Amino acid sequence: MRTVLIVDDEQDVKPLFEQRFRRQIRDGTVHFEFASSGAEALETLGQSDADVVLILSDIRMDGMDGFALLSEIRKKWPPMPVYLVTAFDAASYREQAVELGASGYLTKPVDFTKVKDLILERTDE
Amino acid sequence: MTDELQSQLVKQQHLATLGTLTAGIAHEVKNPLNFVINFAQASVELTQSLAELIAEPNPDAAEIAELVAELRANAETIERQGQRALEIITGTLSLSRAAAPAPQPTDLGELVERYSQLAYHGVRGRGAGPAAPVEFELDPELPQVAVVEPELGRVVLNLVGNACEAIAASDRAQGADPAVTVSTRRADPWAEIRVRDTGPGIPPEARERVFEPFFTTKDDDGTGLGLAISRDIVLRHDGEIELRSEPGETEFVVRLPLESPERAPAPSTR
Repeated sequence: MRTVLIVDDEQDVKPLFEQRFRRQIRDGTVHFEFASSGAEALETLGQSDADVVLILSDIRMDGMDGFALLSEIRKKWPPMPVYLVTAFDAASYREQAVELGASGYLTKPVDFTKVKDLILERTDE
Repeated sequence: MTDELQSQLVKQQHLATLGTLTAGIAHEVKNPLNFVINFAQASVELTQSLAELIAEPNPDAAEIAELVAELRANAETIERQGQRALEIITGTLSLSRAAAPAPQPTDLGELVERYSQLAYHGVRGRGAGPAAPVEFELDPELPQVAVVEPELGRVVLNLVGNACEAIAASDRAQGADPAVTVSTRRADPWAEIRVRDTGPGIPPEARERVFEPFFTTKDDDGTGLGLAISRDIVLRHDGEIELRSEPGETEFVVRLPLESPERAPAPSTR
């Protein structure tokens, strides 16, 4: 099942995505997996049955941050679409995101209209 | 120097600290506020779904109940995140109050981490951005220490702020591997806080003078009071502050008494 992986160390993102995508989750258009750290995200990606088609990752996290996670993903799964999300918009963040090959850069509070387009584009047949 | 000028400068340094603090708070408070906004938006969408459901000829009671439960959970999350934002503001803004409260048993690690983050983001916010975030080596076993939180917070803010500026300076100079490390540990009879940076170091002739009021090595924006005030605060806590510096490394060590005899903890009532 086409999976979108959300990486954020704040637990509250889970109900947020589950509510905003209630219909799509129920009819099976999209499935979400949540990881609370970069390490956990890599673990999920490494599972053989992972059908991850899109990753949205927070930047500022303890341990491996979003940039480090992106670098790892670029090494192991080069074509994987990875969007970085942050509450702390800064030119240096944007530059680093581009440099490391992020597919896009989003700011918090998340604009769910935008995110919905982004996600459904990757999960719709 | 006249008393009036001196008090003017003390006030200026205080405002500078507040400026750093405000930038830090603005940063920290974003996360909870973003959740408040996103959960409020999600709740609006939920009420629309609810209205549609209710308008159906045979409304599904179970589904309505589910949506109502989610609305309730959202309101609770909004309250919790709002409280979190409030705690960030009230916890740190107490610095601006004039009267110093009594020392309270405090988790030093938590205090150090919180004010270090504020200092880091404050320096970044002013565009003097350090290239590396602050690293922590906190002793989880460290017992609570009686301190006046906003005062000791100000010490951490000053020391870590200086360290962040120092690595930004060295970063520009040579592009070495810059780091600010803040650690806590027990060294009986003291609890120690160490703030270490890999900046250019403090020249020998300046080392003896850094704690003097109005002594500054910063070109334009230093009041020369940050370390003087920090030292004053540490001494008022019956502690010590020490500087070690060589080219490429500077470390400030703050020692606070683990137990002060005149403020022995009250016997437990339980």
